[in-house]
Amino acid sequence: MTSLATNPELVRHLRTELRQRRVIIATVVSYVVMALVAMTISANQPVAHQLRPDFFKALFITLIVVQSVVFLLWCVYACGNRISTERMQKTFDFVRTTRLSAGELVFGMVFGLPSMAYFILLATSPAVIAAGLLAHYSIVAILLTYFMLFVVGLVLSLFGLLVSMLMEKPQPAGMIFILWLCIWPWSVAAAAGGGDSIFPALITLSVVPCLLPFYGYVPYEANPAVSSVTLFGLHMPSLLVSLLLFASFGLWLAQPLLRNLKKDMEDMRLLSRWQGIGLAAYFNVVGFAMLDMHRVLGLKSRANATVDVSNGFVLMNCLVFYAVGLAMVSSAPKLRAWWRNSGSSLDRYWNQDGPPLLWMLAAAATALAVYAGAAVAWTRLIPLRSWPVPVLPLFVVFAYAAKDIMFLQWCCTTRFRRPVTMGVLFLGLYYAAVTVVILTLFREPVQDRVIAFFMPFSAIAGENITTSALGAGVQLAVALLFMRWIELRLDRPARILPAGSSAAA
Amino acid sequence: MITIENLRREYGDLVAVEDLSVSIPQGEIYGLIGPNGAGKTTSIRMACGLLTPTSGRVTVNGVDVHGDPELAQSYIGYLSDFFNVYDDLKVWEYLDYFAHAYKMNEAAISARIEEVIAEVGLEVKRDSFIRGLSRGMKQRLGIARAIIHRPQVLLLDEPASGLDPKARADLRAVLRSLRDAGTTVLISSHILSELEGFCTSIGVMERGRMVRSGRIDAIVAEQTPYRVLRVEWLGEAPVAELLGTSGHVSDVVVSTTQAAFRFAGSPDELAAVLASLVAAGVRVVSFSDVKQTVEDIYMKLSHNEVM
Repeated sequence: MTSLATNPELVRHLRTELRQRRVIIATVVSYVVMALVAMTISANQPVAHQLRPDFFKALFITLIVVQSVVFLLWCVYACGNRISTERMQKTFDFVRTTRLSAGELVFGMVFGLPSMAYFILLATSPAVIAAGLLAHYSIVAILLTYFMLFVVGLVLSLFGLLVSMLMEKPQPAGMIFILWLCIWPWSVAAAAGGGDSIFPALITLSVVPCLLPFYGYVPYEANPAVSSVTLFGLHMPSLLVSLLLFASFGLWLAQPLLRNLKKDMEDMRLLSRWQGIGLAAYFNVVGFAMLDMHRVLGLKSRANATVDVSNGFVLMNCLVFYAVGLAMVSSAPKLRAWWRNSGSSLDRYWNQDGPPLLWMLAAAATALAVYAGAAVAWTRLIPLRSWPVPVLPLFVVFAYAAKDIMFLQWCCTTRFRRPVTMGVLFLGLYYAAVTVVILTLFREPVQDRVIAFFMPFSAIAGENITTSALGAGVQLAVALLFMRWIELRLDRPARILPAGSSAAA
Repeated sequence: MITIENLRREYGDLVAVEDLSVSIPQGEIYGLIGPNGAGKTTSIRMACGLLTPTSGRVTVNGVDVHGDPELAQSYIGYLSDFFNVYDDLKVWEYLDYFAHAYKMNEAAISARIEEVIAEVGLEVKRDSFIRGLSRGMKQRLGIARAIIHRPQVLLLDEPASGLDPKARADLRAVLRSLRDAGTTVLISSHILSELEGFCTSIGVMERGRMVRSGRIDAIVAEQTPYRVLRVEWLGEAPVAELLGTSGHVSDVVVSTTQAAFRFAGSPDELAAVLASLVAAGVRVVSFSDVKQTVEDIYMKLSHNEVM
């Protein structure tokens, strides 16, 4: 392991990004922009207020918002297309054949690619801090703001790098998608956390409301105690919760990068099977930790509260199963190697490289265990016997997810150029077609039962469970059929490549 | 030095490389030849650790390339066909980056950078930005990068693709000096003249399989149990009749003052043939082997796949 400061990847980016001329230009431009901002604010203030705390408040807020937006967008942009660009230019192969580990590369890229953004932030921060102090804001608040900006920038850089690793070519549309993904969940979370949400800790996904109390502001009248939120039933400082969440997101984003960065695209698989189970546990633990049961019981009767929590648990795990399944899909070469080397029957399916069906089942069992653990933890509020046991609805969503993931796994044994992408498109088409056909051919109340048979939504809502379970049985049977079809395909002897065609292409 | 054992790579249900086994000793220049799509690039990418084999293994200096990639990479230098370099770096910075990335001894890096820059003839461009270099210069810089850490094995995938004749000549000169320094080289190409007079061994690949592999002289001897010779003389002489008297000569083709023929005998018997020509008054000015080119060998070994 090379030392962090002499990390070659970091040094390389520092050299290219921070050339003397660029640094001088960036500094001059930054200070000109700040001067223009100050003049604009000054022009809108009465003469008597100029160079008073109100002026500096306005100046500080404007500058720190501009700094944050520029810094975060720069982080995403710098990392979001980097690996795909290098892959397209065929420079990345040379990096992959060096002795640098994936960890060293990720470190160098995450801090090196946006190094100009870090420089601008550092160069302009003395002026911004001075404005903050003249506005009578506490230095602690200002430094905490910069610290959280750094943390969020780091997570966004990791996210950009991950997307870039998964894209074959740099794409502007992909970049827009990344930016949208970066902004959207936090806006939703902030909106949800600001009201009477049963997940008050969601607000910590948007760092700004957690910082405002340090500046003496109360961001939401409906939620005055925003400086502390409930996590695991305990009141904790919201900024600390925010930090914990972002740190854990960063770790989960780093995992697939560390696993796959030095691999060929064809050999990539986002997470190992155990990591997949870990991810399912993480989502469930975080989900339950954020749930404020006192608030739930304040809004609903005990019976309704447990049913709602149980339904929410099933809905969340519907998404979790798909996410975990997608992260565990094996590539075609891995599948063939698995088929050739697989041993006895159970070992064959409980394998790092085979189809992920049993591992998804393990993820479902883990989710159920977390649910049970949460119910036990809340026994002082709700007796254990009051909790519904959501085995059947969970089985329904598991069956649908398992069938769809096994279909995607089957696609990997075909000659689709992008098998998983093609598979997802086919699944979208399938669900759209089923929905249209059902809505066209059937009328209520038959329609509800048909939907329950062909779709998992009724089970998530806790309705028509028996019909849903029957449909899920069919889905599971289809998943097993896909497993068999995968094996039959793998049984076929591979063909020699036709002359004149290129395998690598 | 580099051993490839039962290497296989599948893409879906297609086999790109099937059970490839080759052992290349130190100092050997091994030319991997074959048509486009024969599996050369896939083989080299597996050999340098870029692609995971479906089965089989590659060891360099006894180290498994996929089992202990970090150590194995210290023994391997890799160069591909069309590639880019980091245009926004200077020549020395580019080499410095890779020297550190290969985790060379810090104290030795500066001297090594100057050494390889001189080796590839880029001294005057040391402090220039890479974006200002010509295609041939960039290729030379690529070679400098590949050898910066003194690899014992060089894996070159079509290294002369897209180069002009001058740049190709430069490339050959650099590779010859590396060969002389004892570096083992595995070079792939479908342009057979590129490998002429350069390789000590060759392997012919077709449709993912190795058709034939070995030292060039051994393959030549095996494929042609006779020598093809050419004789040239002054004036008129009954050379065809004279050659016909030797029982070891066949397929004589005469054109005015020169003839080509096959000879299947010992060196003593060949000397006797020459002596008989001279004794018969033929004014011989040249008597030599017609050298087998890599292309000749390929054409004999190939199953006539598309080039």
